[in-house]
Amino acid sequence: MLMDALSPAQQARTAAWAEEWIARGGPTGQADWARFEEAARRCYELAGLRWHGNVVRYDSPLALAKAAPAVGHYADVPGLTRHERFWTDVWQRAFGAASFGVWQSHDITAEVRRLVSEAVRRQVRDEVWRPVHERTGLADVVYHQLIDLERRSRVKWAHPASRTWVADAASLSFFRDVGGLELPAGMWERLEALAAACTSACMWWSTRRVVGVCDPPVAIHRDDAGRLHHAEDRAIEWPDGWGIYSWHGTTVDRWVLARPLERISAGTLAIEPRVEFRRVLSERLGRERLLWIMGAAELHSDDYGVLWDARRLPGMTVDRCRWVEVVDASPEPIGSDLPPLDAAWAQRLRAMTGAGPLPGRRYRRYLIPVSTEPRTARAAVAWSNRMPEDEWDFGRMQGIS
Amino acid sequence: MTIIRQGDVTLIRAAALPGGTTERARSEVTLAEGESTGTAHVASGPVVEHVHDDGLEVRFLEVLAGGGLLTHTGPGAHHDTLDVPPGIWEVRVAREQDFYEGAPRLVAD
Repeated sequence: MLMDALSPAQQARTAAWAEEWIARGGPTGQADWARFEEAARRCYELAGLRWHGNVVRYDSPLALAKAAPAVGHYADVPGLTRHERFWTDVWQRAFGAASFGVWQSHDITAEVRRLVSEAVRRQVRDEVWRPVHERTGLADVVYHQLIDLERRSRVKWAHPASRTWVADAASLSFFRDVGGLELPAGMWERLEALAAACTSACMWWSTRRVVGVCDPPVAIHRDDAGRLHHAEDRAIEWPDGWGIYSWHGTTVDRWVLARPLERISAGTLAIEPRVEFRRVLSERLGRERLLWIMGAAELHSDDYGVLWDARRLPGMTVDRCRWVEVVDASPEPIGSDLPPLDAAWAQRLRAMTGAGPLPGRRYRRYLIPVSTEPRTARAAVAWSNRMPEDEWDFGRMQGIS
Repeated sequence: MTIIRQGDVTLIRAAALPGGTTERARSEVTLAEGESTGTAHVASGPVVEHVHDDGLEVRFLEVLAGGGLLTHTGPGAHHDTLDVPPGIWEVRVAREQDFYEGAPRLVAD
């Protein structure tokens, strides 16, 4: 029977459903190679392709990414389109069926995807796997180089299937198990084959003649907000030692976390061009130590921030070092371990956004190096945003985040 | 003057699109991105990016009927998504002082 809305009971299950699939998207430990190969074989068969039996294992996504172009050349075969139809069948037809087979309205299906898939996608894809793709260049390799090879050499099904699929799979399983979705024969079998392949190992790609797959990570460290985070070491690490350094979701180079605090100087901060790296270094130091090593003194403060002044360091070409300290308009994710804003900074946030800090939420403060021309904090913020001081007015801001 | 600000990106409402601009992108326009962190400020919807290149690149965002969205994307992205009403908006990316060069530079995440 078609339903026209999520029932309260169904609605109540969405959060737990998302949590379960978030856990499936980020396991660590040993791969189940026998299960992977069996599932990959089923994927090929269900796509109407001959299973070649060639599975090459790699220790990390980096090794997997480096191998992809060469394998693409090796696997040069006449073109196929059935692989693409396989994915189309699994995803598009399943979601299409859910829209008309369980809930009457596409809006309800979209609501389930928002409540379940978006939560999973944010935690699994955005916070864990996207940094891996970007750091390895896997996305570039597969989506650009290998897809380009696909066009030229007609290798098909170059899909970097990884655990990012769980976001959509979470919704599909909700449709089935909670909504009672029935799909055409064979559809769930396809979905389950794909699910088994993706959860028994880690990232993988496949071509007509060979499958490349890598080990799962040996460790994933996240902060209370679910972001990749480790204060001293890799936040995600593979058996070959490759991994990613991340501070509360910000991917950084190793030295940013490894350098002892006593070896972080004002010069370190001044010479580092990447603002996010400076923010991480500043947060590691803590505000008091940071201002101490800078020898900074407060020059001015107003509703827009605090203007700090310090002597220049050897090698600098400016007369003085100036920073304006500001607060982000958007709160940190729930679970942030930043300290709460004091009364003065809460007032600045109120002046900026029209409202004080949200209950229980934390806000990031950071320092922007500025010219010595501005004499007030407001003028310094305006200078950074390339506006005249009198036009940089919170009252003119239609939106701020 | 109306301003929309998302982190290091500021949109300033302009009266009209100046002459001498050329269209560069549509539908999804990356206004700023951090190469090291993977975050980006992206305008999406019925939007068109125009570039006025007179030696110092100046960018404009034309937002058509229905309005656009300004989204902060990527790992660790934390700025809330903002509505961008229809109209012409000048795009400015924040700058900061380089103490060693003695000159401003664009903020780079």
